[in-house]
Amino acid sequence: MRTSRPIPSSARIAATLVVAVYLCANGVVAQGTGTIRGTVTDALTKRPVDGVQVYVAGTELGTLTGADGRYQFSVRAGDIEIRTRRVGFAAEVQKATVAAGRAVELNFELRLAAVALDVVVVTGAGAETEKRKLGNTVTTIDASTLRNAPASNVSEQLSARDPAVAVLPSGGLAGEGAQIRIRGAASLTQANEPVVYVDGVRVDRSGGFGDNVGTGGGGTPSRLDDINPEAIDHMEVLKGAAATTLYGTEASAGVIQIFTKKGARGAPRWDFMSEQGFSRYPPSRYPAEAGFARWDTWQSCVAAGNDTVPCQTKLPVAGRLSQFYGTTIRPFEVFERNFVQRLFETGYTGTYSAAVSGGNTGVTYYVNGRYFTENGPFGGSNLGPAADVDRKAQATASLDLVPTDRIKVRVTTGYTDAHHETPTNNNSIYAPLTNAMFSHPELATCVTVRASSQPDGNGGCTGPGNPTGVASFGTVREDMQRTNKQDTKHFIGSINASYQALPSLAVEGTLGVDMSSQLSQGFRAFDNDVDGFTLVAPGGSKVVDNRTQRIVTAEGKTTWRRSFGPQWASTFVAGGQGFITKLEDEGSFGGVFPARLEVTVAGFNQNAFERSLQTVNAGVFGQEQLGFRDYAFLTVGGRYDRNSAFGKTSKGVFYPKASLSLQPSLLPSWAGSRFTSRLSTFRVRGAIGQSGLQPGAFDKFTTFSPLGSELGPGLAPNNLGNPDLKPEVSTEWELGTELGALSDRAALDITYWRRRTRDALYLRQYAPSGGFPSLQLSNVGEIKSGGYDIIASFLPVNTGKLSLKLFANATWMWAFVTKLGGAPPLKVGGSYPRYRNFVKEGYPVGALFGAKLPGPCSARPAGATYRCLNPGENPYDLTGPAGTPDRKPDTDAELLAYFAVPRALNLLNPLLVDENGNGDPLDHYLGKSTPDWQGAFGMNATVVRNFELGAVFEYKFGNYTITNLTDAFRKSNPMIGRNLRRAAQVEATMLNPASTAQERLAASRTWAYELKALSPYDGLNQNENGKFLRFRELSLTYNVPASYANRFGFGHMSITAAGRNLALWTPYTGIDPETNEYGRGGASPDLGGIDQNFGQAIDAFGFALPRRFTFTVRVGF
Amino acid sequence: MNRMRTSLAYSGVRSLATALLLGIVTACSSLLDVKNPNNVNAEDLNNPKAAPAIANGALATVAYGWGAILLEYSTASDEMTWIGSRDGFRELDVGTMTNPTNEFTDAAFPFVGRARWMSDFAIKQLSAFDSAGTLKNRDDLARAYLYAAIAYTMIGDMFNNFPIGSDRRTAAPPLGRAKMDSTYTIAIAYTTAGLAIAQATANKGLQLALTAQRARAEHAKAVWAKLHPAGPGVPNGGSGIVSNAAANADAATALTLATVDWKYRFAYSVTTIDNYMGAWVNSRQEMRVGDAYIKPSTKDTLKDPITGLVDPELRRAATEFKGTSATQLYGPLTVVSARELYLILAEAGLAAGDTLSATGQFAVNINAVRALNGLTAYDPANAAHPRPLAMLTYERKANLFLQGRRLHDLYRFGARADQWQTTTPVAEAVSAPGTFFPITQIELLANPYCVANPTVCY
Repeated sequence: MRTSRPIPSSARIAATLVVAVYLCANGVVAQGTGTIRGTVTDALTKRPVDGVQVYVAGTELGTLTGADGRYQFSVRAGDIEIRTRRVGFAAEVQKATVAAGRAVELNFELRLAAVALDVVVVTGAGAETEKRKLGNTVTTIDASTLRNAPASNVSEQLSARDPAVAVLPSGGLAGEGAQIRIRGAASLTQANEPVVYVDGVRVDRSGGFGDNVGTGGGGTPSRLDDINPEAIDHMEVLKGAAATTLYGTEASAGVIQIFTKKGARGAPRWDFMSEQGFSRYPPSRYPAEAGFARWDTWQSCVAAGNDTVPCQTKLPVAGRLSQFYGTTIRPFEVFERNFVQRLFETGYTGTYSAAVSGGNTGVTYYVNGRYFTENGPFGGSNLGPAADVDRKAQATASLDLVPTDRIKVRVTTGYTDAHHETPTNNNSIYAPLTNAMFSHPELATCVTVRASSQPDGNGGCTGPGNPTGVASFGTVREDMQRTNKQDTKHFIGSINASYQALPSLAVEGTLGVDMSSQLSQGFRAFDNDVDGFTLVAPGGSKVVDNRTQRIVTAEGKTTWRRSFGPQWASTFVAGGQGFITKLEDEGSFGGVFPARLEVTVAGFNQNAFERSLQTVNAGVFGQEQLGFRDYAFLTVGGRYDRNSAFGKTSKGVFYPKASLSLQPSLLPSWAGSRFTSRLSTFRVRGAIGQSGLQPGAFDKFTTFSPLGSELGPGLAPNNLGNPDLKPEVSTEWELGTELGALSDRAALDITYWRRRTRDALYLRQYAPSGGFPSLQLSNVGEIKSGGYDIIASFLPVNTGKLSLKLFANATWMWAFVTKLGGAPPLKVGGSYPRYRNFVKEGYPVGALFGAKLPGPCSARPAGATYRCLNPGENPYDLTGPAGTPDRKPDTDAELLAYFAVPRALNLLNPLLVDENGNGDPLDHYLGKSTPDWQGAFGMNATVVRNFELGAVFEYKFGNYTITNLTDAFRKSNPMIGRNLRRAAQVEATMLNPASTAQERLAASRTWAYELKALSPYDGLNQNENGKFLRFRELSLTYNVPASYANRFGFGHMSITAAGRNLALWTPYTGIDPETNEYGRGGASPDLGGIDQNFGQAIDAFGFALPRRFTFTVRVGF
Repeated sequence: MNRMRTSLAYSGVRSLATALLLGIVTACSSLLDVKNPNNVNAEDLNNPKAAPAIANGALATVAYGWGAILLEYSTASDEMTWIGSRDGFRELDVGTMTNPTNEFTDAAFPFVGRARWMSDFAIKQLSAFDSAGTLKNRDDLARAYLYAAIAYTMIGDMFNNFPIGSDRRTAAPPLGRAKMDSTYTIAIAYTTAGLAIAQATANKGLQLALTAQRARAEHAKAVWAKLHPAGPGVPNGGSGIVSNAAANADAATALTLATVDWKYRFAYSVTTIDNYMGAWVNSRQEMRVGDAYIKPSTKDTLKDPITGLVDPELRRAATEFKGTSATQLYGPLTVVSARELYLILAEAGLAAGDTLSATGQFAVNINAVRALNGLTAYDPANAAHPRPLAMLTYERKANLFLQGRRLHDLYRFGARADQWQTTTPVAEAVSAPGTFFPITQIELLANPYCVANPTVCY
């Protein structure tokens, strides 16, 4: 006997939905409708323009043009006004009368325009709204304008499009994610990365390899780059609290919303893309490794007090090195070898994409599949398995149902399966590039502690050995045995339904989920000590991290549009929005394998890790926008928010906003004024608003963490706790104007903004003698920041043979820590002294502090008593009139006497200054790690209709200081450094018995003023001006004429050659002014914390951005 | 009519929307109450069942703090020599110890502070359970006293100054250099209190450990007085030998309880905590054992001055610390041992002038240690054998390797580590013997008293 089971509620809902759609669809047939159709072309080139929104004015009824520029949709019979919208083109309007059952042909020719105030935005606006009605700025990035750009992921698509959006590429490994900052840092400790939405659904924006797998800092992937770039229609960027208020808590660092493509009605349209490319690191960014022999023969080495065997096998003896390299090496003559280049190769990229779209009056669809593969320019595959590889298989689909003109249902899905590999890198002593850079050619040998072979006479070994002369930790070949991999499955799905209950009233709901599961692994094989050198995990090890995150988004809102007579209009929006985030991060470690096994459970030493975190954020919002005669708009609104960080009994937080937009150029009187010919568009605007950032879910509690002991499980102090914890709140206001001239062929957009973050969450260090050394979040900070965003564009030529658009943008920005409530400053990197970026009251965020040498007494302020140098004095106290130190700076004469004999550099410890006399010589302000100015400029041109040329340059300058830690080592460190030519030369001069005292004196000055660095001189000689100008993008596209394309069976066809990071102009002498030690998630996968926030501009043995060249063919039919 | 319908429809939708929003906010009240499975809330430690875990927490934090500061201590002495890339270790290696920004002492300081606080907290919490009659095993409280005594002895040994009494957000002023010996007084009091409990519970093992640690603290207090008689960093000079009656009595008592070659050690493992030192020395290779013990180029290991053989205890300790690739991070660290108790008694004998008799207390106790090593007996009357003071310093060097005694011995016996810098800038270890570690930057900036009175905290 069968038992009947109740129908699941989900099934009932689905059935109801299907019936409703069916009934509604039939309703369409019953009404009197006609058809609007036509073609939209570029007025200049006469080529069809796709992605143009063609719609009935005052409604959302409309469609998008296809690749052939065609559009078609049904409308109710009667008189109608049809408008077009497309970024980069001026809006066009036509009127028509539609008869029931008849079709009307309306063709549009669009003109390029530099002003784009008619673009509709939804992010942060409550409801779909033209930009000109908003008092705050919203940046729209139209993906179709980037179609030819050499941008292979979302991060690159965002780069250089808006001056306030800084995309920090971190480094040049394949698939390396970028950090993103919008108007700098809004928070001291919480994530300064914007929150990201895809089609209304909050998505995982994390980075890195999870809690338990580290690569050294870089090579970290970004979950943002899981989003299929081919499926993106456009992106909207909200830049600050004045714009992000309706997103409430978590949004003060900005919001990025990505909209995926929709299908256009018509027959199935197929589009294919194939892109092949190659990449190379710029070799000039890596100076060769230098060294010199200390002795002529092994006998002289022994005579100097060394043991015989080392002198014969590994110490810097000229005779031995001459045999090793097959060339003559002489004592104290600096010679170079470039070991780094052995790790580089020509990288390869391949991208394949296929899309189909189409539909009818009731349903449209879009489906895209993309496969991307990159084997980056990091090579060395002959040395070991470490590699930089990034692969992504992506599928995106959307379904738009329009059962009636009142109901729209949109379903979107996106899925990415990604594989990522990166070598250990950046500030890790187990990284192949790092150790290659620190190699000493004079220490090259084929004999190590536990293995040996013979020199091949050409700078190599016939077997195991240390042919690059690393001084410690592991050989380059052993470093190449370490691999870091990650496999990710990432799904984003949403359903959005809107119902136009009345002509003036619409209800909309969105429900979505983002699911990401990433499995990361760091692995060293059982026999990874291939050269018998390393003592780090010679038995192998493996660490695994499994990070899964689920974000559920639910949003509902009602939009009520009304008119009050002919002058006034109102749009009221009210709704609620909530997120439930569940993060689980589990890991295991296994060390010392008994054989060639690759699972953690095979390790003799085993460990396990786990972290679980659930966060709930929910709020309601309301907004009223009042318009007067379509040129003045006042918007007021707010959001009331609650967050699980404060528990269910806590109070909520209210974030208000207000904005005003005035566009006098829309006034009828404007047209007849004297300004018309000069100022075709003029708008002023202002906005003020708040949004916040929350602490972690458990930061307010006093907690103890498990800490096992030999006698059993134990507990240790963990979080000090703060029951008064609350969100920090950013208040931002902005004033701006848009100006259009020459019939909108020239445009200027200027925004001035100020932001104050109060109750800023700060990781306060309480006295560790109190037992809780962990940093405790407290609302004691304040940041004040501000700046200008300037965007200019100009269409100087717009003829049939040449259309040229020039653009330039710039941001000038400042940000200061104005309060810390008496809490001590915090430094990036904890107690690691070589990172000098601080959060310190009264200074710019991320300011640099460190050691200084005494300056000339003539420059010392009157009344100051700190150490200084008079003419003829040097920053040393190595000697004195009596030949012994006399607590006074040494004169030239004293030093000449001192340098009459060779001196080891280790004895040359320069004098430091303590200007404020507080006993800390490392607290001198040395600059800031963020530039005053950043931006981009470039051009887009259409030449003889079928050729498109695009170029983008990006720059940063103005008080931009980079920590060149790489060269600080290479200049100073006796073990893993002093191998830049000038450092080796200084040391050779000091030690060479043939040097004169005058030469040694000069060398000692170079040592003090240019080379001496690292502890206890942290900050000295390691900062450089980081300004740069980079030729970021160049692309040339040939659009094959339709007549030719048709011969191959294609409706359209284009061929593009493009290059990225083609040239760099900078005074910076390090690897690359854009490398960042921590990458995206290298310090924290959740992107928060001092290190992740302010560890910028630290060049610590990173990879330069490679030059990449791509060739792309796009076809469709 | 249309207007009315619009109004009604709007009213309905508005009500629906309002209800929906209220529903969201109400529903979220329960959703907002999320749990924290990662850690334990402080209130849970009020449960008497947590007593063993609290005592174990004290053990784990003290054991970790011990390893953390021992790394710097051993580097500053001649036990370890810097061979790596981190210049902060070089600074210590050459004998400069009072730089408050030295990254390694600055990194170790919080672990020492945590160890002190956690062990004090364990005493307080378990004493409360004990008073309430809810402490199931009183040995847990006795253990807490032992761990706290070790923590206080460690602070007295390793630091020139230290804030004692800080509690969570409330920072205490430092003791001051002249009063640092009060840490030993507290340690002695704690061992006494713990001993009373261990005797009550008849826990012989704890009695031994507490008695030995009290002897250790009493001896250390006498050494401190030797090194700090006239102000900071000014040693007394002279022989450097100390003798303390209480220490001697406790050492003798403890030896009656001890098994042969007894050691109280912190054990480390992959499932608990590592010893902090192994990662830097054995794995990262920032340091190696100093030339004073093992000269790597010739593989010349410290030799017994009487037999000329490689010292078996040094070889054993070095081998144990180095471990294998599986154990290199987890080698045990000795806190106090029968060997040290014998050496305390030998030193007392030396101080008493008992130097020439093979049956005197000096030779008897020295030979007790040598017997543990299987070495032939020392006879102070034999001119071929080292003089007593040299013999004492040798045996302490060999038998207390990596136990936090060597730097004190170098100071009080007027010796210098081979790496100490004697050229400009002359190392503090040379210019101001008796100098140990400072209150470091992390505390200086976070302790309001130190911010207001910086000179007092340095």
